[in-house]
Amino acid sequence: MGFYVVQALTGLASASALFLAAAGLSIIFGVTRIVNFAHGVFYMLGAYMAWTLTSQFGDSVLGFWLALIVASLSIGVVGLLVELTVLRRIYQAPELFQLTATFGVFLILQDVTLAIWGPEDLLGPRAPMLDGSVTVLGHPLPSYDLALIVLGPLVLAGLWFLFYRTRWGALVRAATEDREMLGALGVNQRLLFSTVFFLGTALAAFGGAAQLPKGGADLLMGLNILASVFVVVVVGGMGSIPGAFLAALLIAQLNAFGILIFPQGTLVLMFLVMAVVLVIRPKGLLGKAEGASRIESRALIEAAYPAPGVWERSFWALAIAALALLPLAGDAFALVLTKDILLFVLLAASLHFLLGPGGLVSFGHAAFFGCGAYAAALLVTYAESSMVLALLLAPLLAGCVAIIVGWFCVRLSGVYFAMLTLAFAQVLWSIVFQWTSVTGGDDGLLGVWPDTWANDDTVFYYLVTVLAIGGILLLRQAVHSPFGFATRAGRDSMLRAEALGLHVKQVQHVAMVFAGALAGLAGALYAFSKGSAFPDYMGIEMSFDSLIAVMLGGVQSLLGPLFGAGLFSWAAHELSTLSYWRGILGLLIVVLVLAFPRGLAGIPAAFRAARERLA
Amino acid sequence: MAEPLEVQSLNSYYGSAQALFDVSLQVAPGEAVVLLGRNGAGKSTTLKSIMGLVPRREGRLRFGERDIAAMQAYRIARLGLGYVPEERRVFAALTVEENLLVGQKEQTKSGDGRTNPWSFERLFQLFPNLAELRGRLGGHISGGEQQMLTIARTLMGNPSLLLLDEPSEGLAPIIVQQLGAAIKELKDMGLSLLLSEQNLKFASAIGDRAYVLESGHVRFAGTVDQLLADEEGRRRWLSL
Ligand SMILES: Nc1ncnc2c1ncn2[C@@H]1O[C@H](COP(=O)(O)OP(=O)(O)OP(=O)(O)O)[C@@H](O)[C@H]1O
Ligand SMILES: [Mg+2]
Repeated sequence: MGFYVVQALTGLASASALFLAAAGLSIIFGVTRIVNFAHGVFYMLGAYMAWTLTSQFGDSVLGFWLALIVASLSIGVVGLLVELTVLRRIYQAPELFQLTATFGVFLILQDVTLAIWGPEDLLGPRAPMLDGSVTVLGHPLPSYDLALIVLGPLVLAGLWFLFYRTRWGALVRAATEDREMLGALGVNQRLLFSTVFFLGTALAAFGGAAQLPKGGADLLMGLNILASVFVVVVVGGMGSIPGAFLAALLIAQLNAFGILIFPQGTLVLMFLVMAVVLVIRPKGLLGKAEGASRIESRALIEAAYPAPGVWERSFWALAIAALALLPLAGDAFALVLTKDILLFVLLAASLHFLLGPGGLVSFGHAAFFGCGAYAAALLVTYAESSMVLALLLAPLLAGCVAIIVGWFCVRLSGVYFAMLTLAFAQVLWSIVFQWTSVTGGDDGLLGVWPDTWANDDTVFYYLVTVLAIGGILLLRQAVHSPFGFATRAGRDSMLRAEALGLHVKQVQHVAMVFAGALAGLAGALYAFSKGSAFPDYMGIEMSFDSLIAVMLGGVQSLLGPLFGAGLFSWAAHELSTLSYWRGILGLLIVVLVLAFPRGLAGIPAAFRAARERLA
Repeated sequence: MAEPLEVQSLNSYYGSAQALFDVSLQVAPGEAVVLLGRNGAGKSTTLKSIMGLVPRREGRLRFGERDIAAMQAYRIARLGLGYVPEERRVFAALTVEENLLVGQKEQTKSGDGRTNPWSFERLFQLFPNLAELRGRLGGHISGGEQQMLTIARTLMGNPSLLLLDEPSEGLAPIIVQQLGAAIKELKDMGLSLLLSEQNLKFASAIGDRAYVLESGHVRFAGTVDQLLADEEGRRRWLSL
């Protein structure tokens, strides 16, 4: 009995840090409607900053707690700077741009942290007076946990006062409902947004700082907390702070007890809870159904994708000719690189089909890539299947997974859709990662080689080229098919499309399965190309890399994303040995989103406009 | 003293669709002007354009000495324009009192230096129904009460010109009567009014002058009496 009580108390303690971070994200989302991916990095920065300050001043009780607070406020200022320089420019931009830009900020600050504090994990300091443990029903509980347990409700109460007893709070809540109306009443939203962003990041940083004595600081904590925070915020209802509190308690308890029952699957459990909640209550536990109803319409990405012209046809002819002739150059490394690039381009093209024509922002597209890779690897490993059979079945299996995932996801839209896709991708990832006996876990599955007839660099290269180009052409054919028109009609106006007799959700579902199957094909080929399958293939980073590649190229163009993906994947090969390559990438993303919101494909137009302005 | 509003050759767009074509109108200080037209004629768009709430607008827009054509909504509001939207847009999760609080501008920046006559008490005199509803959520009161609240909320910001978008729409006759009385009182206080309406009877009881819009064009400009006399025009532009 005592054991369970202590376990529950431990859960409560970890709920606090989670709640702080989630409340911050929720507040920011509620007002700015931006899902701030950089949020995780502020949590992490809070911990690092607190580490530095407590090592200086943390010996007295007052010094320790002041250090935590000052650390949080200073990171809040960093957040404010980010708001002023980046976010402020993209409030009206399409969701996808905002997400990508904040992810860019994440990458930059991640590397800044690495540069300042180094790669080693930092051990948390001991909190003065709270470094012992108390005995609860015969079981020890760290005293610091008690402090954390008190901290959560304390902050909740403070926030409640701020939001329900001050005019600023009323403005923030009003902004959550209807920003435009607030402006028409004479409220300067910029100021409001900046203060909200400051508060949100400071809260995240405080979360990171507060858990420092418990968990220390490391470079992965940003990404790790991000996934949990998303779950908490979505389960609680985006923008609802009591919802975030409730959900943080729920998730933390789930983790505390889940680890006893199902030690391998806590991640899966968490995301399953999220999926169930979202299906039953699409706006989360305490999310308001009408809350999101009046968001001023953003410039949608209403790309029409004109049919290919002469220029584009000649590009394809040239590209195919170049690819066909490449083996003659006799450069083995060039073949390997081109293979990788082509497969990544196919993945990006399939994602682009969802993002562009489908208007579906998927954060978990790598899941299908990974499914394809693992389907192939498992078939080869356990069924001794031939490569041909594996290549046939893998896209089908990835498509089947997409049928299931899609069934849940298409019920939602916008950020909820994005988060649910991310959640499913994480579930699949953790299944693969944790089910070691079958999937090999972190060690992956090895020995996935092509059949003997294709086990020649040149032959396999041609196989990859033909299938990848075939897949890409199939995707672009689909854009111009009646099915492609249907997806665009649903994207541009749900009501109008339904009035035309289209079942928009069904069309979206099919689009997900189609794109998922082609991503699966890319994944299967990738597995054979590398001779292995690893959990990374379906990790968050992979999903984001493909998103970034599409963004780089420009969502509203068909060729752009292909270039973007090619460039990205080439750059990743060339630059990934640099120690700050992710940070550089982040900087590039932010600059691109701010300067060329239409991606690479928009650069000519941007220059033309600039020239006209000068003339 | 209130300032005159002057709109000249206003063209407004939603994306690539043009909703207003060369709309010109004036509201003199203290004047009550009504904007009439069928559904989709462009009444709301006109008011939103003045307030800076449409995606794209072109033309000459002046409020007193100020050029407001490129100004953001919040700045326009701070100059003394008050906007009461057609859909009311009451903050549903805020109490009635909080809704009013949001409408109140920071005291220091009262635009033209007029003292603000509006307080909760003064507004509750104008709209007695709201008094008992102070603690109720904006989303939990009736449509008529919401209409009063949205007007009261805008008044809290002490506007000198009030843009009212179809305030009588969808309300019971008795409520419309109360509302008409309140609006007349505002007019008597010296507020300028620009009132969009489909209800000619309601409009003519309040307005001095009228403009009639049809498919984004001004088809009539004159006094309310002239419009009432122009049966042919009324049939062409207003009857359903
Ligand atoms: N948000 C919008 N996006 C695109 N078109 C719009 C939008 N709002 C209005 N329109 C179009 O602009 C035109 C004018 O509409 P507006 O709302 O100004 O008319 P109205 O006179 O206020 O009509 P009602 O009496 O129905 O309120 C209409 O053709 C309408 O379809
Ligand atoms: Mg209207």
